[in-house]
Amino acid sequence: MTHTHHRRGSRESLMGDFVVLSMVDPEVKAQHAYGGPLRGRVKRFFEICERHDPVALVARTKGRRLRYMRGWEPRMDSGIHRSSTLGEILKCDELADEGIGHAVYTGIDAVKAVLRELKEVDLGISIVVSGVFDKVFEACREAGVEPHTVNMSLGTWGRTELLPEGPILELCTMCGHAMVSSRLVEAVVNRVSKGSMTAEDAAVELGKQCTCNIYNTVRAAKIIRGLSG
Amino acid sequence: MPYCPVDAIKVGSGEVQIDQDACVECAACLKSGACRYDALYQPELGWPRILRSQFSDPMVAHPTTAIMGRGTAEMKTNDVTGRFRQGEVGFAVEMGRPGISTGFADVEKVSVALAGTVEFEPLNPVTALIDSDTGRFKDPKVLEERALSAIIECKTTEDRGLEVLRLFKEVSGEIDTVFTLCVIGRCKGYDVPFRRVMEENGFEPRINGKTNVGLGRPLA
Repeated sequence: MTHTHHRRGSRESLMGDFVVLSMVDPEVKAQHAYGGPLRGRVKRFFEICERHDPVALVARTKGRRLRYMRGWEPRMDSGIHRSSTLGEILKCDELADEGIGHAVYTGIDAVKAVLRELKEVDLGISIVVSGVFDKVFEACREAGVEPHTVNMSLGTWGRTELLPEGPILELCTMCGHAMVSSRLVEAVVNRVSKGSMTAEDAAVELGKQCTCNIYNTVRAAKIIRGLSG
Repeated sequence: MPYCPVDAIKVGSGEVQIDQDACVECAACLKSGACRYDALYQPELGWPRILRSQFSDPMVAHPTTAIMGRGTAEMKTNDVTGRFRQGEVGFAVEMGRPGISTGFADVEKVSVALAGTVEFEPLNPVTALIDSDTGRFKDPKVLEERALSAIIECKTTEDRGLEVLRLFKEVSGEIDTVFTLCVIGRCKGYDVPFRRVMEENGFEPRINGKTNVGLGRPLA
């Protein structure tokens, strides 16, 4: 499960793209028991993430996912994809007790603030930050936490000629499960070029397909604007 | 139907058809709600085709991991599991990613190349299907299937890490798809010793990746 990994883009573009993930290991019972009922600790995690202006936030409940993504309005719901507000997520009292949550940020300062608060409250839940390593390490230093393990990307190997072109690949790889097809990217970019869709709405249409809800619609809209000329 | 990640939905002779060989049962089309005639449905899948859904649809939990997604918790909970210890290096090779898809025959080419050199992750869905000594699928019917991606997870000691990277390099020329390669290493303070080893030997990690910040408790 490496769905926040292998995001493509220049350093400048990736500097606007960080994901904070929480996870409780299903096999480690001591982690479930640490520091009180898990559901309460997960709720604290979301409260902290919400305070620092995430561009996306997702919580799992019994049977569904509550998905906030900036720019996603109920009029844009389709299929199984349903938008939620940050308020709905924070008020939800049916959070699943599996400890998984994600928040996406457009800058490292928010990540620094989130890490500082998470260190302070000591939830005992594993926290992973995806993004440019030197900035994440800098955030760790400033928050007073020490990186434990890293997962590095050596990129894509094999028949790389099959991959779509640069900016399209950047938009596709923001969903690590490949639910955002390159043809859908081309279709929405075409609509933006013709003026029948805004870049922001196009970003949401792509982000909706990412059911883990880790799509960065702010960064995506920038890339779409660049592609649509 | 641009929503299909593998371009399996085709229009021809006034009909829209799904190419069943190319379809990886990820259900992206169904979830999108894009069919204006509501004609899409998920048929019941038997063995071995059900593997397509288990490996491709991120909302389906794999029976061996009970986690939605394609692999394990890998390094995300390493601060409490100690799955990767100091002196060890982990690998996750995701066949077919990003968005190209993979046949399980290509997955087997890589797992066979690794067998005997690495320790396969016991909780991983691919490991559950292979003979860990040979890297071959226990049921040859699996070789006829494909998935949007499938992750082989394994580890070895740091002193054998470069040997494994060279194996990946060799086998990458033998497959009919792509894979993305993750290398997992423990930190020593704010240093990542195996990163330097890779860089000194011509393997250049990308600038971005994942960092477990060590807030899990109790620490392993």
